[in-house]
This record gives sequence, C-alpha cells and structure tokens, in this order.
Amino acid sequence: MPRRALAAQLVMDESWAVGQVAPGRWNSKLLIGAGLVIWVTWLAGTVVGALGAGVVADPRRLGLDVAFPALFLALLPPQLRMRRAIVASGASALLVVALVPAVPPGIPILAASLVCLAGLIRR
Amino acid sequence: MSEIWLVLGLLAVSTFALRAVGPVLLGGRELPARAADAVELLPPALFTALIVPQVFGSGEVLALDERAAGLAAAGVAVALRAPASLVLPAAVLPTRPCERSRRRAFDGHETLWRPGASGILRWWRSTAKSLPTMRRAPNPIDCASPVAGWSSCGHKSCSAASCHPRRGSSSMSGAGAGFTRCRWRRRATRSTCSIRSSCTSSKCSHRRASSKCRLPARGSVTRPYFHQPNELRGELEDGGFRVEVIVAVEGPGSFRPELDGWLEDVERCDVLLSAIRRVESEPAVLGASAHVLAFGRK
Repeated sequence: MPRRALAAQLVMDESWAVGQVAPGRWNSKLLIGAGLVIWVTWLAGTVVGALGAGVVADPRRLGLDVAFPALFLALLPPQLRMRRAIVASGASALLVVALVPAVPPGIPILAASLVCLAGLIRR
Repeated sequence: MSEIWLVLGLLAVSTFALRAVGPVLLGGRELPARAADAVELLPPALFTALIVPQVFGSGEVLALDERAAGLAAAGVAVALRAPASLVLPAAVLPTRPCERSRRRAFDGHETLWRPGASGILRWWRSTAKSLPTMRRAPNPIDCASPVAGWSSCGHKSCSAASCHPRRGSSSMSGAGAGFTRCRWRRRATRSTCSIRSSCTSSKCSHRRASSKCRLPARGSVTRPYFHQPNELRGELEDGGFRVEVIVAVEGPGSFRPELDGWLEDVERCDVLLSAIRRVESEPAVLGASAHVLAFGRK
C-alpha cells in the first residue's frame, strides 16, 4: 500500500507515455524508472532555474518554449498506432484551435482530453 | 514568509494525496473494457492538446510564428526516428533565426499571422468573446458600441484614427494625416498609403524601410518628426528592459460618448473595460491614443 502511494507520485504524462508497452498496458518498472529520472532532472532543473534565471534575459529568445511541445511530439508517435488514436488526436487538435480564442488558457487542454470519452462508444 | 510555506506544504500534501488515492484504492484491479478503451485514447488526445496551444497559441489568440518552425523541425526529426535527445535541439535551433527574421520583416509585431484578423475565425472569436459581455450588458446594442463606435470611425470615414502611415503612429501624426484624408488600407499598405481625390494633391509614400513617420508634405498641417509606439519598444529594449506589453492610454475607450456615465455605472464600466482590454495592446490602435504606456522588466 505505501509502495503504491509512492509509486503513484511518479506517474506523470511523460513517464506514463514511456512506460506504455502496448495500448492499455504499462510496464511498472519502466514507468517508475522513467518517473524517477524525470523527478530528479525536474528538481535539478528547478534549482538551476531558481539560481540562474537572471542570467538568461528572455527564455523565449532562446526558443526554449518549443522544447515542451517538441518533447510531447516525440512521445506522440507510439500513441498513434491505431486509427482511433489518430482520429482522437486530430479531433483534439481541432477542438483546441477552436477553443483557444474563446476561453481562458488551460481550459482547451482539459476540454480536449475529454475527447478520449469517444472511446466509450462501442466499436 | 511563513504563510507561503504553509500554502506550499498544504499544496504538497494535497497533491500527494490526490495522486495516491487512485492507485491505493483501485490499484490491482482490471479496468472495465470500455473504460480501458477510453483511457487508451487519452494520451493521443492529451499530448496533442498540450502541443497545439503552446505552439499556436499566444494567450487567447491563435498565432503562427517561429514556434511553428521549431515544431516542424521537431516533426522532421521524429519522422526520421531521431532519439528524443536530438528532437529537442532540432526544435530549438531554428526558432531563434526565425524569430529574428520575423522581427526584421514585421517590425516588432508580435506574430506573423493572426487568424483572429481574418474571416471566419475573426467572426468566431468575436462571437465567442462577446457572449459573456452580452449577458452582462444592460442593453445588447449598447454593449457592442464601445468598440463599434471606435471601429466605424476607424474604417468608414477617414478620421484621426484611420490613417496609420505604418501600423501604429502617434496620435499627432494620425490627427495630422487626418487632415489630408489619407487612407490606410490594411493589406496593400505596408508600403503604400493612398490619398483621396478630395484632399490636397500631395502624395504620400511610406516606405517600409523608413522608421520615421512622414506626413504628406505639401498642403498638410505640419512636418515634424513624431515618435511612433513601436519606437518606444526599441528604446526600452536598448535600456535593457524586456518589453512585455505596450498599451494605449486614453485609447479607443476614451472616444466613447458619455464616458463619465459609463465609468460610474459599475456594470457598464465592466463592459467598457473588457472591451478596452481586448484592443488596448493592438498595434493598430496604439497610434490612435493620446498616450502609450510600455511595461517591461529588467
């Protein structure tokens, strides 16, 4: 039980994607290992940022704001093995584009993740 | 300080609990088949939703800029099956040169292209955004007018606000140019500005390269040099500031008739302010304002 509670802390977008071995199947060792790596590097990055942020004038100018989208793009192809997944991804993109001008930032992402509910429809 | 740590502590505990509660209560059980089908679709939908706004969104506006080039480069790297450690540099590398050339070509405008400024998307954006305003406003027609009042004077007749030798000039050059009925056409215009036959015979030719506002010379009011709002950005950046926003002070909102009444009435004031917020940082509007205010950080 405590082991599970601790392991749950390491489940995040990235470790979840890396740990997925087949649609709907996860390798728990891979997932926890990836989570540990992310946790350590994330903390280290935060420390570096807190201490050294003043050195960098404008992070946008370094192009770092594409780093996150690029990371998720790199994680995306293994998720797109099935046609349903490709359709879900496209629908999510359209929904986000439609919602970004209309609602506060953050809401489009929540709304688009609801696209997965289409999976409830019987095949 | 202690309050901050208290909040941090509470947030940490609640995040820990939220993450733990699912696996602890439900761990070890199989998901029902239908739920598994839905969960399967969550990663593709969520990852796409995380990518798109970070690349094509700029606050509440869609924007196409150098981030798209970075994403395209990342896409090529992914298609070539490059490892993630190469995908990230591939994405980051082209953005800086692309950003530079954008700034050179578009002169500090925030984005290369805003769908918000064209066709269906503009309609969708204005409809979607005016919904809450329409509900709150005492009178739906009135509610549209703080902006409509401005835009009709900006586009139909040629008033002070309508002539921008470049997209954004100072109010004085706008007002001065208004005398000559010089009309700014948005598309053709980054380089040209035509004069109507009813006005003086002077011709105005605004070249892209010029950073000064040239008023039509003969027959017009004055011929001095006026600062332009985008020059303020340059000056602040020269001073080591990172400019976050340039806004109009006494901009379109101040053209509203019965302004005092609007400001006193709490509900209408809200409507007016939300209308102003939508246009106050628009480069085309800055020139029509009495003052501009730049906000930057060092």
